[in-house]
Amino acid sequence: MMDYKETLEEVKSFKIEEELFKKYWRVLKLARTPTRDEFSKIAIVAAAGIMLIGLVGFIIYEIMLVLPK
Amino acid sequence: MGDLLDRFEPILAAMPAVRGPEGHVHFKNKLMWTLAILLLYFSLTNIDIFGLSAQSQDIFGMYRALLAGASGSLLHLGIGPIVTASIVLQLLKGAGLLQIDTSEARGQVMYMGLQKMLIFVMIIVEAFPMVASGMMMPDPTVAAQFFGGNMLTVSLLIFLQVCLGGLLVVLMDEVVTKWGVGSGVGLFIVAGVSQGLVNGFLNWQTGTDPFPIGFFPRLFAIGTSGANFLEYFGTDLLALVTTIVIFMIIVYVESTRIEIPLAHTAVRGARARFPVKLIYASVLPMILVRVLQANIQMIGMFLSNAGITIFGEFQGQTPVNGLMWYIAPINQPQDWMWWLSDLGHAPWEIMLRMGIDITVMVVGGAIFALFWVKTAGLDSKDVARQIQRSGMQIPGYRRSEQVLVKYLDRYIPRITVIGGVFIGLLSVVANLFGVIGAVGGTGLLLAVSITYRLYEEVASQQIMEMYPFMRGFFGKE
Repeated sequence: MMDYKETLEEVKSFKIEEELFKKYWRVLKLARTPTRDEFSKIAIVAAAGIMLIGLVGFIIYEIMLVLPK
Repeated sequence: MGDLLDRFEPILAAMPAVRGPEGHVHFKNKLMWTLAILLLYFSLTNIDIFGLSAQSQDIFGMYRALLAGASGSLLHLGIGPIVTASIVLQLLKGAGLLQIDTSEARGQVMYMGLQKMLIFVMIIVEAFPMVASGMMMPDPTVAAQFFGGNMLTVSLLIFLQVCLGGLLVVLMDEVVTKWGVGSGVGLFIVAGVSQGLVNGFLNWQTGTDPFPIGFFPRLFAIGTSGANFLEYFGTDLLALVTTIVIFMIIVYVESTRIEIPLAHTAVRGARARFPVKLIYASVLPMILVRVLQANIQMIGMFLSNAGITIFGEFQGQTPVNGLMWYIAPINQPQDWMWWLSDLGHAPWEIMLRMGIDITVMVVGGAIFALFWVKTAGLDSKDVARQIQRSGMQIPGYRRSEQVLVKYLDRYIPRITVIGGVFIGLLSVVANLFGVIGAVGGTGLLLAVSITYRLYEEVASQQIMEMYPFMRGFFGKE
């Protein structure tokens, strides 16, 4: 449990100590952001997924509620 | 706490559960199960509770996108009980009050049993006040027709139907988690939000003003009728822009990796990178913080209805003054744009409320993310075991798991905090600007992120299917 308590202290003192900010910044520098085509591929897939599921829901909603009226 | 649990063990183990699959479930079957549950979920949200009068209020109101389900339907509670139960468990386990060692099988059975029992308790704890407080009113005509005017039996009937709906959601969630792809809770949130989104684009029925609610029918109607474009369509354009911007940010952030430097044991000096997602604990911990806020607001509402207004008065479901108003999250543009409509509060008060919301989401997001990582088996020990199995090593260190855990502890907790803070902030900012279909910025953020992770899991399962030997390598069944 020790490592976890120390990190919780870090979260609490996060706003005060400047030095700590550097430690978080060092981790952030290791970030690898997606390339352009990787990004667009994923965006299309996510949008398609949401629209598809949403359409199924919308159609079922129309069938079960609006049309019988 | 420990011995108490041991005595409860027989009951915990006997909790009704969906039988897990023995061998490996073929990928196509997993998709079928998930699709089947999705269709069942959508149809259940359209089956209204028998005997419920139309004036009943949806006390989830603004939080509906988070809690899924549909007001007035069988799934009135949505995933409320499941999420509230996991908040309680996360807090207990995170604070160290719950000593269940989930690494070995017996502990897992106990943990699952406890979670299930807590969910059943939450179903009742959430359903009973709704019916008792008159939020869900019995319909007098139904009472007269079937029960000789006895309203009490109709209320009881409503209560039973709501509990039944809660139970159905629990079982459906378990079917998806064990037999399908991804988690049931995630699927239901995505289902609710995406339905709201598509509804927001296509709905041709007219709402408050003479034009249809849906974005495209409205655009068409306003265009042909020649009414003042900006006046009727201004908020819709803002909503469209916000929707697209939030969508792009989430996709960008979800696919960003932090690469922890490691060296490969076989190849001397080969620089290897162990990629870890920036949003390490996913967006689910953020749901817990939002639902915690929602629960506090609900308690405030019940108190205010019961006449105790020291915490703050409520009109309908929105707090008007007092502590409750200040800690209430901002859910939509109208909540903070004081120049749009008189909110009865000075701008500095609204700023303060926004500041509180941001602080709660940032600090809460980080803490719940840390709890989540510990309970979901994503902490340094688990990652170390994964790295150990893949034969990698830290540059210049002996090849032992202890050293690897110490090394990872310099990265994993910080990545978790950064991810939690960022998602907490984004959730507040997303809510400041309206989104198409009034699903709320947070709802959209959840739907996009969960859909993306669903896609990731589908893709990885496909690879597993094509190369069965890979399954052994990753140790996934």
